Order: sequence, then C-alpha cells, then structure tokens
Amino acid sequence: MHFRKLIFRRIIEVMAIFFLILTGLFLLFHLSPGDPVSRMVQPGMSAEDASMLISQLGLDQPLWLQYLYYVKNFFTGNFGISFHYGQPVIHIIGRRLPNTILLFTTSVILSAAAGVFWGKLVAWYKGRPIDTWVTILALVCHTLFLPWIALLFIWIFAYHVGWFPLNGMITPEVWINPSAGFLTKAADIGHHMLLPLLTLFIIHVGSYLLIMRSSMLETLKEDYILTARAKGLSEKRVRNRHAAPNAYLPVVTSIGLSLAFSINGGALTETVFSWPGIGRELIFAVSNNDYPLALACFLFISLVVLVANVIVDVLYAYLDPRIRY
Amino acid sequence: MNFSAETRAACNTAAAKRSYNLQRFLDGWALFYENPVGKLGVFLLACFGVMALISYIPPLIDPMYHPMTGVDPWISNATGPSAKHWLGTDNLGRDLFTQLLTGARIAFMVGISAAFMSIVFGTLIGMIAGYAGRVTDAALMRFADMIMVMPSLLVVLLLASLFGQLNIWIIVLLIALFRWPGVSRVIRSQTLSLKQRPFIDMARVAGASHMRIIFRHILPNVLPMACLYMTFRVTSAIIVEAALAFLGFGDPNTVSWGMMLQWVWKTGHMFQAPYWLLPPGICISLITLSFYLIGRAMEEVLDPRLRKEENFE
Amino acid sequence: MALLEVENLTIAYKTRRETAIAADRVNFSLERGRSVGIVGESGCGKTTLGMALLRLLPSNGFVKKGRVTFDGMDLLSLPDTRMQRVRWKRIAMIFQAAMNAWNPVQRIGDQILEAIRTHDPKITKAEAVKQVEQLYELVEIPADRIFDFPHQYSGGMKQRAIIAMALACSPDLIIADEPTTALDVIVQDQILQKIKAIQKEKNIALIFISHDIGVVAGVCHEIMVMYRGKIVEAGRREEVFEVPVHPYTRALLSSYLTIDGVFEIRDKQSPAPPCTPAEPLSKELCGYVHLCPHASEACRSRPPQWREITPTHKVLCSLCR
Repeated sequence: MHFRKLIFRRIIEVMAIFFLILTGLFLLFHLSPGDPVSRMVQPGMSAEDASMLISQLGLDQPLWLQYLYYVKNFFTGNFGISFHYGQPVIHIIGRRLPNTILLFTTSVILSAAAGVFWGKLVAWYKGRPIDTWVTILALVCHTLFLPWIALLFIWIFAYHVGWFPLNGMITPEVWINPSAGFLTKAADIGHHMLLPLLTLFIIHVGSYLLIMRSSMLETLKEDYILTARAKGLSEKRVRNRHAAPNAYLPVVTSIGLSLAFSINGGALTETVFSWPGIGRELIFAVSNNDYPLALACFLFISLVVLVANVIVDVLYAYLDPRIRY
Repeated sequence: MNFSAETRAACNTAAAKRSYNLQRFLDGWALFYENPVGKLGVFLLACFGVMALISYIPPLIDPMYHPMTGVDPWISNATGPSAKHWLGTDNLGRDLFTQLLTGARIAFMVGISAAFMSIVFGTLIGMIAGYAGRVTDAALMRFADMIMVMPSLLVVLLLASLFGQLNIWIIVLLIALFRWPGVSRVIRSQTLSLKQRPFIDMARVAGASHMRIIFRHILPNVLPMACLYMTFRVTSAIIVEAALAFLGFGDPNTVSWGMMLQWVWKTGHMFQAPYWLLPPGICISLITLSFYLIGRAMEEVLDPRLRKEENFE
Repeated sequence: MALLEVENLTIAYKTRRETAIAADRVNFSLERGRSVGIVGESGCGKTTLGMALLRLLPSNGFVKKGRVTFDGMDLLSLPDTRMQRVRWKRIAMIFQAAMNAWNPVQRIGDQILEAIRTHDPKITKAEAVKQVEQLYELVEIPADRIFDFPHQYSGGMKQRAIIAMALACSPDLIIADEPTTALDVIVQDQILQKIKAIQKEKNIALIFISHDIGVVAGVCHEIMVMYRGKIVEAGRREEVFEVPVHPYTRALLSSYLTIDGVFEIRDKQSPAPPCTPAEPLSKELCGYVHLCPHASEACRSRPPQWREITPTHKVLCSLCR
C-alpha cells in the first residue's frame, strides 16, 4: 500500500538522520580539544573502576574501534557514569525522559489545537478588528523571550499571587504520605505543570495561529471554496468542512519543522521552572562539564524530535487522502 | 503601431533601466511603508538603533557608567531607579540603563552578523544544490534535514562546552552554522524554478560558465527572498544568543540583555527587583518583534499573492 | 415574465489605486429552457457577471447598481440565508476550473450528497445515493466510482461529475463558466453534447460563458459579445454569426476557424489584439475605439448608442446605421 510504503520510507530516512547525528557527535567529541578519557571518566574515581569504565567505553582502543564501541554502547544503553550523580547515565535519562515527554507533548498539542482553532476564525474575519488585534497579539506572543516570560510568570503567579508552586514537579510531602492515591499525585503534578505549560503555550500558540491564518487565507482562495459557497452551504459549513480540513495540511508540515524549536523552548522552560526533564539535565550537565550525561541527553533529545517528526508525518498522511489512497 | 518598439528602445538605454529599477524600488517601498505593520517595525527598530548609538555616551560622562566595570562607589546592592541611575543598579552597583543601552548594540551586532552569515551559507548552498541537482543536491539537502531536526540552542550549547571558552564571534559563527538550512531550502526551490527559464539556457548557450550563471543570473533573482529571510534570521539569532547568555554561556567580556536576565535570576533578585527584571526582557521581545514585523511587511511586498487585492475575474 | 432579468447591472472592483468597473450596464433576459452564450476574451468581465448572479463576487467586488430578478425574486437584495437556498437549488454553476472545483480531501460522492441533503434535509442517505447513481448514469461515469477522491478521477470525469452535481437539485438555471476550457478537444466535444442534451431534456435555462465563440455557437440559442465590461453585440446565434456588425465581433469571428465551414465570415481581418488592462476603461466612449480599423471621429467624441438591426439583434456601435 502506498501509505505504508511512505511511512516506512520516512522511518528509514529518520533512522539515517539519527545515525548521522550519532556519528557527528562522536567526531565532534574526538575532534574537540581535550582528552576524551578525562572527559568520560571522573577524576575522583578509583583506579579499577576507572579502567573498567575505560574498557567498557572502548576508550583505550584505536579510534575506529572506539566508534564501534560507541555505537554498540548506544544500543545497549551504556553511556558511562554521570560525574555529578555518580550513577549510570541511562538511569538518569530513564527518569528524566518521561517528564520531558509529558511537558513537551502536552504543550505542543494544546498550543497547536488552540492556534489552529483561532487561526481558522481569524482568517475568516480577515480585515476586521478582531483579525487585526488577534494577529498583533499572536505576533507579540511569538516574539516574547521565553526565559523572561517564564520568570515573569513565576514572579506574578507563584510569588505574588501564590497560585502555583515556585518550581519543581512534585511536592515531596504529598508523595511521602502513604495514603496519597494516584489522583492526588496526578493533581500535584498538574498543579506544578500549569505554569510551565502556560509559558510554552503562550510562546507557541502565536506561531501556530499565524501559520494557520495564512494557510487558511490561501485555502479560501481555492476554487473548491467557491464551489462550496455556490452549493448554498452555510458560511460555517464552508469554513469548517471545506476550508479548514485543507488548511490543516501545511500547518501539520510546519509543526513538524518547528519541533526542534519547541524542544529549545522546552529546555529553557524546564531550566527556569526546575522541571526535572532531560533538557534541563542537558543544560545542567553542560554547565558542570558532565560530558557522559550531556552527550546522552543530546542523543535522546534528538531521538524525541525525530520520533515526533515521524508521528507528524503519519498524521499528515492520515489527513491527506492523496497520500492515503 | 511603432509605439511599442519605441518604448522598447527607450527601455534599453541605461538611464531608463535605472529609473525603472528606482521606480520599482519606490513602489515597493511605498507598499511597505503603507503597511502599518512595516511602519511599526521600522519605528521600533529606529528606537533600538538610537539606543545602540547613544550607548557610547554614558561611559564618557563618568567611568562609573561603564556597563561592565563601572561601579557606583556609593552603592553596594541592587537599588531602584533614581536621578543618578535612571533604571537603578544591579547588586554590584553597576548602572542598569547603560547595560541596557549596550545590550542593544550587542543585539544588533549578533543578530545582523549571524543572520548575514547564515544567509550567505544558506543562499550559496541552496543555489549550488538547486543548480547542480542530482547527487550534490540530495547530499546537501539530507545534510540540511539533519541540521534542521537538531534543536539549535542545545547544539550550540553542547559545542560551546566541548570547545571551551566562548567569545561573541564564536557564538555568532555557531548560530550561523546551525541556522542556514531553512534558507537554503527556499533558495534551492527558487533556483530550481529559475533553471527552467529560457534565459538560463540562453546564458549557457552563450558560453557562460557555471560560476557566471550562478552569480550573474541566479543570484540577483533569489536575492530578494534571501533578504526577506535575513530579517527572520536576525530574530532567531538574537533569541539564541540571549538564551545562551541567559543560561550562562555568554561572552563574559560583554553585557547583553540575556546576560542581564541571567544575573537577575542567578543572584535571586527576580522577586525583589522588577526594575532589573523587566527592561531586558521587554527589549529582547521588542527587538525581535520589530525585525519580525519588518519581515512580514517585506513578505507582502515581495509576494504579490499576499497583497490585499484579489484577482480580476 | 422571463425567468431571469438583468437590468443595468454594473459591477466594480476596489483595488489599491482605484475602483475598476468590470461589467458596465449589462442588460439581458432569459426564458426557461433557453440558453445564452456570453463570449469575450479573458478579463472582459464575463466571469464576474456570472459570479454576480450568484452573489459570489470576491470580497473586493461589488454591484454598483442594477437589478437581477430571478423568478420574481430580487436576487441582489435577498437576505443571505434565503440566497443560500437559491444557490444550487434554483441556480447551479459549472465551474471554469473543474480540476480545482472539488475539495481534494473529501470524496466526490460525499460532496454531491452534501449538495442534495443541504437543500432537502428530509431525504434519507440511501435515497440521495440513489439519486447520485442516476446522475452518474446520465453523465456516463461508472457508479462504483462515486465514492472516490477527486485525485482518482481524470480531468474529463471531474468535469462530468461537476455536471452531475449541478443537476443534483434539478435547478432552473445553470451558469456554465468555461466548462470545457481545460479539456482536450475530444472530451470537450463529449461534454458539450452532454450539456446541450441535458439542457434540452430537462428544460433548464443556461448561461454559457466562454472565450471560444465556436463552442458557444454549438450550444446556445443566443449570443452576447462582451468587450471590456460592456455587451457590444447581442442577438440570436444565426444573426450574430451571419451578420456580425460590431467590428470586435467580426475580429473575434475571424480569429475562430470553423471546422465544418457552416458560417462564412464576410469581413476578414486580423485577429483582435488583446485589450490592455493598463489603459483606463473610458466610461462613456466605445472601448474598442483604439483598436477599431473603422473608427471615425464620431467614435472618439461621442458615446456609442444601441442600434437595432432586427428586433432580436442589437449592437452598440456608432458606425452602424
């Protein structure tokens, strides 16, 4: 089937890209000034621990063998030991990755849904005051500096008004309490997540709105919109059943392209709100020269973006019958 | 009627061509300036330009106003606005207003140079990929795809940590290196469509080299698009630099708005000193907004389909 | 009273610089079961005219003055919801670009069903599907293709499906705007025959808009020639073809090669040069004066008047006496 073949091809492509990133990172790591061994092995480690780690990571081997070790270690999940935590890197990643995925997917889905909805309406009322004002608002949202708006939100909503916790993802007291059920815990996470979510939402909703607006304006010039009107359909039906489904397509494509951008914002948000995600971990590791952790975090972040890209492609193919059939 | 032949002859003289180009530019400018979006963008940008220019003045008045090294001897903690320090001082007693002015200079420098470089890379690679086609095209575009899926801020951060100490020009270079693929995609597709036009064939038949075709015939045609993308790239370069500085990876020898935000955050003054927290964030947001607005207005000039008139019939 | 009466219809577009008149004081009427062809080069305002009848002008276009009466209703002042009920149920349209007239993400069958069920909410889906099947039989598309997507149809099939959809609510009037321009000659001929046969069979009034005077001659009872927003000559088909009076009509006819040689062109001249949109449309004077080989001093100074050649054949030209 055409559809399956296409998705299959995309997956192969994405895997190739990931392999390129994997290799590029290896090359950069070895090309950069500095000794790879001292970067992967913490100075304070005992001699036998250190030699075991070195042989595990293949750091005593010639470069090409090191590369094979590196690829093998990626697939077996062996990324060495974090300097700061003193634990295998993969454990830290395993704990952080779900938190990032939770925040990232929720924010992308919510802001895309809201942006598309408003973009659709605003394009319909093109040239009216509502269009002008919402577009200006979207432009402003789109260009706001994320860390600043995050700090501002903390200052206003957490510090002054006190509606939300200052940072973090959970309240330890709630989780220590043995009687706390799943709902209590989920509500606690939700409470912590609202402000970071709001930050990401404000930043992203504007760009999705602008994309949907221009896509919708393009679609409204199409002949089939005229057909729909000539058929005597109500304006609402023309908008929602004929214009919008076609206008979604370019928006889905640009959501795919903007995922890397969203991850940047996610990492900044995680850092400001001390959200224990993988982006914050990367920034933290880089600041502390914790190379094993930093490299692994980066690989997994790229992986998240690539997987999300494939999901977006599937969505596109689903929405466009020209690909499905 | 020989009227049209006359016109054509007149158009061939250099003076007429110049006046035609001038007319086109003026038309475009009028359209640009008629747009409230473009006007607002230009106005905001002019304000920041003035800020950048007068940033040289305060240190001349009193060394205490130097943005990095000038410390008010009477102040040892963050203080609010006063006659002496219009926006107050930071916790070391440095004047926030001069820091803000200098930040404008740095933002322009970083934004424009990084955008210019990424546009040069992007346009060159896009033209080569589109013109050469086949394997070159496929390889370059896959490479572009790879860079496009990497979160630029995090890559630059990682590279910064691998390669050690940063100065502002390395930051600019790194930003440029990771922001070209979007441009090269657009330029490539434009080159592809230009390649189909007869005048490229004519140039080839006339014996022009590939270099000459690319630079004399294709480049002038893709240049407007490249300029448009430059305004958008300025925006993203300023944001990436500010974010890097905010995370503590800025050039330690200059002050930028992102760095001011880092200081207010790291020194724990964000709840006590709104006079310190608000201005740099507003400035970053507004300068990116102004470039973005200009870009959108330019888009309307360059792409007639976006103009407000519908087609006849 | 005629089914459709258009009186003094003037349509204009607002552009950045000016307000341009696209159709200027157009008058005509159409009886049930009759067909009229509007011929002119691209940009002359013929599509605008068709769109105005359905009130589907682009957002910057508007009717400046005039009346459109359809079956006793004043179409131009009808409230929007009532106009929606007139569209397709009473007046259907066959579009210029059938390639793009179908929504690419919806099945063709669903789009036709939508037209039927919008205007007849009580009909069940099964009945409606049955109607579509009958329509497909009429336009000769296999019924198993009904629920295909537009990209699975060929160009000719899309065009025939559009005709099927136009007939779906059995309208009183069909406006066909260049229905065959994008098709190759063989398919074009099939479709024209189809339109003609159906129009005759169902006693539908037809407005046929085309730049191709030969196509119009094959389909319509009456012909109106339009040039730069004005009707310059109108009459029964035979009259206009046999005795073309306006110099522009003659130029149009001479640029059209008859295959069967039915109509003999009397005044051979060079094909009509296209009108230049850059020149402003002079409000009162004859728009053709700058290209007309017979233009006299009178043409440059006085606006042309309508002359009757026969009671059914009229021309807007100062030369004609």
